[in-house]
Amino acid sequence: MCTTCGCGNREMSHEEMHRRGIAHGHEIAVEQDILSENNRVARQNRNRWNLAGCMAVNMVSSPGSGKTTLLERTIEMLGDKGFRRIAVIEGDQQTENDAGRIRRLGIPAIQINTHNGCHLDARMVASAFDELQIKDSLLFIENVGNLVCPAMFDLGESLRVVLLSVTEGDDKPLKYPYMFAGADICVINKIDLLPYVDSDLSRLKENARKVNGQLRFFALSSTRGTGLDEWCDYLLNVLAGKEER
Amino acid sequence: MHELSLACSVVELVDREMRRQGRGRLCGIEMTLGDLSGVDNDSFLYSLQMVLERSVFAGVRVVVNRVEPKARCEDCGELFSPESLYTPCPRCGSYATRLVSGREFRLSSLIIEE
Repeated sequence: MCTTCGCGNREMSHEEMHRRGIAHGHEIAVEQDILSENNRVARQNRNRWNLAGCMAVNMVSSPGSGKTTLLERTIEMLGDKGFRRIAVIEGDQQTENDAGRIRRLGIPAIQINTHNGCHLDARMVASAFDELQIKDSLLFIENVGNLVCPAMFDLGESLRVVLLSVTEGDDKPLKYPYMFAGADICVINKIDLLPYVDSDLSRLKENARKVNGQLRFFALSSTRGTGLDEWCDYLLNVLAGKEER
Repeated sequence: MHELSLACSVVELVDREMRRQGRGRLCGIEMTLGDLSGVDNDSFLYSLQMVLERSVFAGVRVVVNRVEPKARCEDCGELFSPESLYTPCPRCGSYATRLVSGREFRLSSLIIEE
């Protein structure tokens, strides 16, 4: 095979084919990251959100870890603490259910239905943000419940929060390492159920730290309210610039 | 499952690059894929071939060059080949390691026939 262009011609050199005017391949170096387009839009989002005074939090987890319930309780508690400038972008394959739950709290919410898609990407979130028309707000993005695919897609968020409930097992960070490797915060939910399951809180954290030594943890129960205060104070501190992300 | 949407991104990228070139007929593409990129090699190739066959690039050859992951231990400096994102340093046992290669997911080159 011609080693210059890999065209498969066994008889002639690349130069010889040129001389004889024979059609053959040319290798053109591209070296482009496949996610470069998503990453470009994500950077654009991040700039636009910064200019609008908005901070975005990308919430990722498996289905049923309690993302929407955590958002509801967080919105209520932040409200009690005097902070109400919140908006939510909801991602699900189908239904408006989650956006409906958020709107009932008087908070603007846009539902993105990905249909056959398994994750949100930067472009989808960009148009949802346009629709929201917000500024100086805390923007929660609830990603599609999926612990695999959303890991690869930067949305332009300032914080990526991976939520994990104790009922899912304390080895989950090792089973789905990509998601934990890319997160800033790990919220451990449903800790009120610890007495009934085999999960061990310190083992769970240890496993998560093996994947990502920089992770910061919050252990809480959205339904009982345990640990919510600390979580909400953290968010307010980050918003006020008092705390490192 | 995200391999299909990634395959679509590859074809979009190829299309954009071909328009930029403005000449020739595409006969092959070469990809670089790290073993810890989070992309499954088999399902990605399957998806990519499926998307290509349904595009203007039907019949295009795909070559995937895989990259073996390398990590550097942040405690003792050892360079090693990790099996996963949480392989401890084989020399000192530390989990504080940094992946230096193995996350690549690039369109490396286009083979164009003129």
